[in-house]
Amino acid sequence: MKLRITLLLVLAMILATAGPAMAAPKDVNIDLRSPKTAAVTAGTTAWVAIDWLAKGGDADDFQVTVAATGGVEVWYPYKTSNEAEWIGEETFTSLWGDKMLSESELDFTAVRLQVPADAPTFVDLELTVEYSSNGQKKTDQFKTKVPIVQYEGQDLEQLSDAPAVALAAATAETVASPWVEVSYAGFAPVLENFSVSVTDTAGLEIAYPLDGSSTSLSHNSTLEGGETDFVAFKLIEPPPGTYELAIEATYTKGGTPFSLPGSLTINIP
Amino acid sequence: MRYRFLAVALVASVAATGCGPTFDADLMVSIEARWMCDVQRSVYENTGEIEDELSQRLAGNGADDEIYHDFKDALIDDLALRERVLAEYQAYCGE
Repeated sequence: MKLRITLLLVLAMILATAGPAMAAPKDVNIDLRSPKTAAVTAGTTAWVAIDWLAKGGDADDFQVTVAATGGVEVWYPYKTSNEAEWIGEETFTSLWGDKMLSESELDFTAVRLQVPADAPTFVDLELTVEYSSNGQKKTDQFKTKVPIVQYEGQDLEQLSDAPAVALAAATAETVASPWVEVSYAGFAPVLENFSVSVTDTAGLEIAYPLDGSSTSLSHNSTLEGGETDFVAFKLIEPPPGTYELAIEATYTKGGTPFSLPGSLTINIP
Repeated sequence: MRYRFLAVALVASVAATGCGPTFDADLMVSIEARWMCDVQRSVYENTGEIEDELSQRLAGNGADDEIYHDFKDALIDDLALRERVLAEYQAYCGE
């Protein structure tokens, strides 16, 4: 009798510790916990996190693919620490912790969004989740919104009102028609269609590159946040003297035109 | 003889449940719940920034990455612990 009771106790303990392994398999439901992500500034690139929860069971081999509206491009984390390898390498992502979402577990997916300057107020992310549950492959579709905000602050700055004037020094022949360079520093994420013209020539004759009616930046016609670039125009045989020129930079931000008036003090020796 | 059986059963039971946790469960549940809620509220320049944010939270609460990994490992097999995190997440994040 006593031996029987002891054996029953041992069996009860074994069953207690082996309980989860003998439980009936559960059918899992994936719950998207992020109806919208953090806001992203138009014209910038940023990583956002999207929360998930597994209910009623475990989801293994968790894979997420993302399609975005509004011209937004999506990238996924790459498995190496070399960020240069990331772009275009991965076709799906998973969870931050690992590839399994256990019952009642919370985890998140991180994706990188490149948002155009003219993105709408909200962008939709279509999320396709594939996972395994009880040996079966499953697919669920979800949607989350990305709020898009516009940059607020100073767009750019003209760096000097006494620009570099290319004059040959200590040579027998002076530069009769020197180039004038004016630098600009960009603060807003993206300023496009950048152009500068001289609005008051102070009586001087002005020429722009390629015989244009204005000049643009040396690198391209876009000034990005953190970038410094310059424009140049030519003075045609200016007489010696000091001249005050008025200039105007025009650009678009998110498709809307803006301008920045400025001035230059030119000294011709 | 019967005492040997009981001893074996007791040892087996302890072995089956494993060694005790190497973290403060209440603290880590709170950190994890808040982290899961807050991580989705910010944008990040790169994934390193996400890792740094978590490390700062852990350090600010007297924990570190090693303790966090122990906690995450424990979560894998502990439904009750996961449900504690979920309950605190729902209370903090608003349900």
